[in-house]
Amino acid sequence: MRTTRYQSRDFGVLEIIISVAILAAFSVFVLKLFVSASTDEKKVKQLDLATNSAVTYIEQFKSSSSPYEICSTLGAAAPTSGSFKKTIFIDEGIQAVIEISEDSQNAAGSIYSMNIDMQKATGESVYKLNGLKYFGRVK
Amino acid sequence: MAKGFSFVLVTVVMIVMMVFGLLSLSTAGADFRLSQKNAQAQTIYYGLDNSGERLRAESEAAIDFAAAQADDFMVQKKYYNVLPVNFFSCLLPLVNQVKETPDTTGAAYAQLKRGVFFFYLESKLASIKGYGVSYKVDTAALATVIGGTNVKETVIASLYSTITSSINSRYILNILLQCPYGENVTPDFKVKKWAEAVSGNDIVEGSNNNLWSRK
Repeated sequence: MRTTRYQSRDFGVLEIIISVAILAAFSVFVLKLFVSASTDEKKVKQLDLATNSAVTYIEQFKSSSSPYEICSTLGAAAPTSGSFKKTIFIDEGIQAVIEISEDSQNAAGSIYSMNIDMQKATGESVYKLNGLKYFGRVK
Repeated sequence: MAKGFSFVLVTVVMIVMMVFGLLSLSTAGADFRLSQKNAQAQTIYYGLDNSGERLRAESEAAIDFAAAQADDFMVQKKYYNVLPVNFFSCLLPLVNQVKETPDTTGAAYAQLKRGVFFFYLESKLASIKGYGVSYKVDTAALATVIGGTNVKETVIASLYSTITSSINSRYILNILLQCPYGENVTPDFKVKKWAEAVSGNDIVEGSNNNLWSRK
């Protein structure tokens, strides 16, 4: 009796399973690359925003004629005594904690310090910047 | 469709995706490093700028100090032969006169006149802003304050005719008003120290009911 061996030209179940598994592994690898890239880009955006915002605030502070002149720009009243502190929400989940206080003084004037701590919404610090400005006494 | 085309297609797609993914990752990494460099550069820049501000503050303080020293030297040089003698010789009897004012209307009245004397003395000195600035005494207002004219005529007139109007305020104020003897010292003590400074002599309290006498 002659036996006829049937040879299928289609993919078998095992072949399909293996090929899908290989595709899935590749896809996971490639997706991981894109996710990592996306995370890094988000970090870059946050750091750039934090840096630029901090520099902007410091420059405003340094161009002012009195230590607490910037307070009105920040939408707050200038303190009558002591230091000034305010948290400002910016974009990209970033907030700026701005503090102005007298750093030191001598016979001719005072040095005021502006500390900026750029934080994530969770409070994690992204970037810190400190600027000093000397205000001479009116003679 | 040729044999194996799907395999080639899938392979190409996978390779392309992998390449783009790697490119994206490397670009993001480079961006992040650049961003960190920028942040670091800003920190360094403002650190140096802060050092500059501190240097500026120290410089201005040094300049002010040097200017004050120069002013004091010039004033001392200019008035050394005039101010100590004239002013001191006038100041002592005036102080004594005020202090020894007969207690005709009660001790409070004499104390008031004495207080007014020092008040106007200090206000005059504080009002002199520089060389050549004249200062007029509002004797009428003073008379109103103390309720009489005797002090106006004797004390104030003599005092203001003696003090030159061109005394540099910084020189006087440094000695009299901002002297390192604290804010709670009596006017007597301040004037004593002032008189000592301008006269160059130690002044001790006398026993003859005068406020001070030369040692």
